[in-house]
Amino acid sequence: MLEVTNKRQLAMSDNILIQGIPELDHFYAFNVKDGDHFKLNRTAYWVLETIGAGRGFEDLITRYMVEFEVDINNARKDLHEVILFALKNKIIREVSDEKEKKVPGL
Amino acid sequence: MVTSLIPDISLEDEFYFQWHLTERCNKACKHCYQQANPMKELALADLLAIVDHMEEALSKWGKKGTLSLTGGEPFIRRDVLHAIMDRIDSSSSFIYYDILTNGSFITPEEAQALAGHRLLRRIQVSLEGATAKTNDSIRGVGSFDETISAIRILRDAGIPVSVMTTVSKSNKDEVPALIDLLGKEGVATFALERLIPEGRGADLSDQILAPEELHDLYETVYRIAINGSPVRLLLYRPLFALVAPNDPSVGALCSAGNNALTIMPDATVFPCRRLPMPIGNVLEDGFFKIWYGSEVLWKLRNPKNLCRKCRECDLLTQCRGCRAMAYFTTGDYMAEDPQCWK
Repeated sequence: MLEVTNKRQLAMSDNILIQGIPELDHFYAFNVKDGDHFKLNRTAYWVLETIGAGRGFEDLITRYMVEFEVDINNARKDLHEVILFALKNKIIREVSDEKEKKVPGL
Repeated sequence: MVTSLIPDISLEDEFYFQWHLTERCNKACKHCYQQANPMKELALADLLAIVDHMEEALSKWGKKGTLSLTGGEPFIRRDVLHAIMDRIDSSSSFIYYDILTNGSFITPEEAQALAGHRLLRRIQVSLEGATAKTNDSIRGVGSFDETISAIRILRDAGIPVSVMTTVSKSNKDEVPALIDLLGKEGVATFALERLIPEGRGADLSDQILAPEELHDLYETVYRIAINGSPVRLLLYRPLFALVAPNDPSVGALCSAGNNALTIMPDATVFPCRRLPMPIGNVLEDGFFKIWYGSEVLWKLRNPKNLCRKCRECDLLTQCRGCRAMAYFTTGDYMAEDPQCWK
């Protein structure tokens, strides 16, 4: 299980660009150094865009619940899926303090 | 939620590079989109490094490369031309390449050297009419005979030749006769390009075809194509789709932003040679940063950014007009193609 803490910060990895053509429902994450590229859906794009804006994890959950009108359990489930994939593929990175409190369920 | 992307930005399995090795030219054609201004040229090591960048990008994108080597006049850089061709010949990333030249440096010896290159598909030369009078009024005295000579030398060496014509008011009526001539000369393919008011061609803006003139010309060429043309006519250009929207061999989307890039002699990259907007330098940035990050390319990719006429056109998926023609006539590269007759 991915361990993400309440105050842990997520950030875009170096060399990552996210791009979207909302009118066509096309969203992507790109590594401009090694050329890796990933197709995203609108939700994943929103999450990465929010992380890229420097939002903390608690803030991300709160904003996600409002943006997609879901409760906290569904927000955590959705975010877990996106963040796990993004971490695994080095689209984002954790900038964490191990002493911070863990987020329940994540 | 998220999946790995098998590249679907490009619609085709091919990716096209147009690579200008020099801006220098021994001609001064009146309609040229270049000004032949001096531009830094690269040493062979840097040029080969650009091929490395191409291979890296093609491999990552799962594409096969096609390439045009051109200038200016590319044979002015004969010092590096064959070495680049050797390098590409040995690559598994490319399907073929062409050379776009004015033909003036083609000798029997040069043709023999060219014939030995594995991935050389065609040599393209230009003729502006079926007569020396028409052609030479644009390309310079003697150039008609010089080009016909080059065609014959290349043909005799077994190298397929393509001919390109930039159509304007001064030569549109000669196109059928030119097609006949090219058939007799054993030319493999013929393509039309439109005069764009850029570079030296900006002085010929009064020669640009009106929409109905272009329409008539495209209809004429299409009729020749489907009625046994003596030379294969390449009709995959924007606006041709308006002539025969149900014929898949006719018309094409502009490749700028979709499946092509132009590289200039100093490694500057443009979306298209006719849309000279610098979007990076391949040696400094690499293709990934340019392809993924250029705001110009992202604007071009989104048809919603097109002007209303193009955006709402029922041929949006087949045409979208020429962005360079829009740019050089209106200042807005997403404006409507001013030669569209629809």
